[in-house]
Amino acid sequence: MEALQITWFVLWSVLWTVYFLLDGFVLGTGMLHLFLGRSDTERRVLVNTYGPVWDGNEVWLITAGGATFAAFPTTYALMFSYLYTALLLLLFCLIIRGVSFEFRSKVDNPSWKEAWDKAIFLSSFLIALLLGVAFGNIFEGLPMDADGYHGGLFSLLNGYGLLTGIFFVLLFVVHGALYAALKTTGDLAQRAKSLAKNAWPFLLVAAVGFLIYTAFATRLLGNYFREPYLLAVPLVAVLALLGIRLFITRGAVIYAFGASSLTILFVTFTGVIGLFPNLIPSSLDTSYSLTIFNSSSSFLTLAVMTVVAMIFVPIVIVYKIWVYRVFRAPVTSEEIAGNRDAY
Amino acid sequence: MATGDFHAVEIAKTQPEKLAALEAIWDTQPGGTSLSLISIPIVSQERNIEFITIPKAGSILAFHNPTIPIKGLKEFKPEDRPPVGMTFWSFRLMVIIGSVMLLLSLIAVYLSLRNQIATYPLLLKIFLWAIPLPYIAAQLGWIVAEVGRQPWLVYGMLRTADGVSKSIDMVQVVGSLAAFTLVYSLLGAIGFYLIVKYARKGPDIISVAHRKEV
Repeated sequence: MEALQITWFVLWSVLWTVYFLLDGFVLGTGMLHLFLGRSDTERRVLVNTYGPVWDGNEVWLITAGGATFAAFPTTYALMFSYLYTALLLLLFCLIIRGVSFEFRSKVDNPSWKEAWDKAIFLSSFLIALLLGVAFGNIFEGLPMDADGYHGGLFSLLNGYGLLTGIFFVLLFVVHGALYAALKTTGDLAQRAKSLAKNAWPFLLVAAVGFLIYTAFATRLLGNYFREPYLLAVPLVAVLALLGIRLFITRGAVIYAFGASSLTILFVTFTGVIGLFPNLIPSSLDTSYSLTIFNSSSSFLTLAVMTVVAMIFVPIVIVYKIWVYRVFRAPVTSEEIAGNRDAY
Repeated sequence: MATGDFHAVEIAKTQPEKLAALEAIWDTQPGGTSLSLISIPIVSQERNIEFITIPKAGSILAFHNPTIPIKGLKEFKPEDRPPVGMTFWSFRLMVIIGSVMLLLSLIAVYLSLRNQIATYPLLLKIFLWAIPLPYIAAQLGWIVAEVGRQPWLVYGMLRTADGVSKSIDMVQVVGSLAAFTLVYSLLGAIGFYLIVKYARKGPDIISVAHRKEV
């Protein structure tokens, strides 16, 4: 039973991590939409870099939520009740973002396009920020005990939550700028690359701040003191973060994107390793923390889910790789300008 | 029709109250439940006004066996019964719409095969106005499914009234419902505007012929 619960904690972490990795660059490119795209064609190029993949990427978020529901229903129920308004806000941003990609080029009218362009920017920014705030609060723990939740919407916007939000925003901005540099050509790609380079120092400051604040505001470091070899995980995160700048300077954009991907993976792993075995700690009394042991489904449910996951996750990964291979070529202005069927 | 039959058999087994409510069957009829073509339930008197009653038809539909009776609503305590009126009428309307759509499709297939479909402009107009029907039928189906399983949130285990979250207040519920209504109405209006715009433009013959699969 314990093995199954740990398996699902690992799978839960992997789903979130892959979601951050994949939607991270869509959110990042979305946040840079107004600044990188200087003309209608450039903005269309940007949307077309992630147009064929963004919805598939978002499915990892749905699966992460679904896995929480199926594997750890108590956590799911309490989290969605306690964070009701915050999660609804996130949901509405996700809805607006999705339709703004699809709607923006459907009517050839500058103010129509301008409105959806702003929607892309604002919703991407809020999604990145809110996800960061949510995970910051999960790392810190929520004020909950036998009487339920003692916080509100605004208590989530505490210092550590906001710092994690800003850290996520900057991480995705750099990741998205590198994705745009990789997937576009010419002047646009150049500007995306220098934007990644210029945003990187801010990311470094946010990362250092996040690391220091984490030591004070959370109990995440406990697991690392108990099992020091785990410190390799945050170490890889730090090295990958430094690698981003190194590779940009050398002009190796694809390696820089690899480094930003590794950064996201290992930052998320760092967080969830520190969290284990909690899913949401209680900041008031640890005996009310939601753990993988006190909030999981039955043995049978977890066993069935494990078999299903073993069959379907590899299939999903194969077709994801296939999709990315099909759309691997950069998007050019010439191709977009002549194609009215594109985004 | 096949999936509808499959559903009826499933519901008869797993949620007998829902089946009784959507057909407004009050009494268990030993030897087999009859079904009326026209039936108007009077909920307050726990009976129906019925015309053209077919013996054992209900049992055949529910169990594929004319002699097994459908459990009537009176066998369940009043507090365990779903709201009969809403379940019954939503189901009726859904079935009527489904039958109309089936009829229209059969006519369309027949006329298409004979290459005559464009010679009946009135029929084409009817097809156009029938576009909302599947959406209405789908919504009615949800009403049957969700109202019909009341008072349970999880059938037989958790009542809807007991499943209300303790940490969400009225303001949040009303606010989120209002926000959903607003956002979805807005998106619905925009979506409708785009559909009409592109429908008016008509198909782009050249681009369709040259389009590569995306």
